[in-house]
Amino acid sequence: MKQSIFSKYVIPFFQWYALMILIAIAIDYFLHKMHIVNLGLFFGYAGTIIIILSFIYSLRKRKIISSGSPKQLLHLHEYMAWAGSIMVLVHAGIHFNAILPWLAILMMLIAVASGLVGKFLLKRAIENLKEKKAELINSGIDKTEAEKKLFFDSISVDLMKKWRVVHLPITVLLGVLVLIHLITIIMFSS
Amino acid sequence: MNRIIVIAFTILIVVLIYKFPHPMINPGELLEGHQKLNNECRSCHEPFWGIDDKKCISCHTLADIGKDSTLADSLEETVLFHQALKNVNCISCHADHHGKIPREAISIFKHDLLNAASIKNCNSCHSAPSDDLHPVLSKDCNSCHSTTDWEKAIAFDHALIIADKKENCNTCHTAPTDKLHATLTESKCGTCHTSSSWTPVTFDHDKYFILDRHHNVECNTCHTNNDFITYTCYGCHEHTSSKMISEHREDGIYNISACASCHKSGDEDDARRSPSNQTKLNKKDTEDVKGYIESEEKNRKRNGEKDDDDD
Repeated sequence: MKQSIFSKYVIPFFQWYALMILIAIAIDYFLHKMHIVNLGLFFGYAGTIIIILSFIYSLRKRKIISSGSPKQLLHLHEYMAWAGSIMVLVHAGIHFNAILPWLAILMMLIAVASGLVGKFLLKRAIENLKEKKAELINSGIDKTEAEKKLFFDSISVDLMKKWRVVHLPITVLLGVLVLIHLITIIMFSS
Repeated sequence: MNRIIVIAFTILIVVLIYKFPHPMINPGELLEGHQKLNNECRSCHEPFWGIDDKKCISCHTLADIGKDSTLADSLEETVLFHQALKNVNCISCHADHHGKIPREAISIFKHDLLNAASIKNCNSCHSAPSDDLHPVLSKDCNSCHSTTDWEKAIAFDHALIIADKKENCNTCHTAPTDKLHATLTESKCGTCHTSSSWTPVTFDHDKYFILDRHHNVECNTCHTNNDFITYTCYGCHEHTSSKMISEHREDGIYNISACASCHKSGDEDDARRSPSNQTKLNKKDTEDVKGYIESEEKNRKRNGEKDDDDD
């Protein structure tokens, strides 16, 4: 029996997102309970380093480096960025003190959400398009005619593929904010 | 285009931080007294250098710190220990951006910063405890407390108790309420208890009954109802009154409630007769013996009748 689109693609998307927030809350609660909230500072550094390391995939994709399987590096990017985001969320805690760090957190949450959209929803759209194309060809319509009939679906998939249009600039802005945040910390650290 | 957006965004953020540093980058509220410095970061911070103590002292003169402190009200006199600090290093104790309440702005205080005279005089900063225990102790706080964890006492030494209070254990310890202790008219706890360890006591139970491996049980097995004067040996399944009557009758012993008067241990061969109470029967013993004899008679009769039938 075929799984519904909702359970196959939408639920995993929300699961991963919600799990990230819940794990961050659980770790934060534990740190407070054990009176070791100061460790939150190190979570910020560790999370940032892990997220930066996950960008090996971007280097490979842009052929700046040549070793490593792009598919494996993509998976690594997904999981490392997700885990690093948990650490950064723990570092931020639920403290609404200043705009800059919270703007950075907001950017990070959007970047993770857009990443998860790319991971789950783009995959669904591509599979859907392939199935429709195969059905049309099986019913006797030639390939060119089938492509014409699926014109709007193809456009949708192309748009989905451009999720990076959101993911990448948001990530760049996140990088800018993190950099400014780090500079201000170093500047005013006692 | 994207590059232009990123550069514009960066410039915008930097300008906002420069114009409105407090809402943009403050890591937490400043103290009530520092609120006027909200957007004046450099009043305290030297960029890339930290906080110079001179900046603190330019407003907070060391000699005056503590003079107007409301925290000092509970102490006998105002504490001016800042004058006694070996080295001036404000941020080793004080922090800010932790909220408006002054207490939140004091991080861990290290006693090493104090000079030798101040470190010995704990009461110059700490108020003396007003409980029942501390007034009877000598003033040597370091004997029990450490400067790293004041609340967690290291070890209490009874030698610290001042001489005329040493005998009065009830100042700190609650008097036991059981019948044995209630009969003790004088407070001479030291007869049985030591100050190094309250339990177990030095009371010699073996003098009355040896607690061997078969009798290594909870006190209330024998001493019921919180009464350590009396005892019963019928608290376990090994001993029943009818069994004891049966065993002792042939020796002419009917008082089966004063076991320890003859048996000083669990060894039944080690019984030593106590002429004072071996033949005296109390009311319960009398009833037990009477009941036992009657039941024995009945059994014998029944068996005898049976034997006659068999013949």
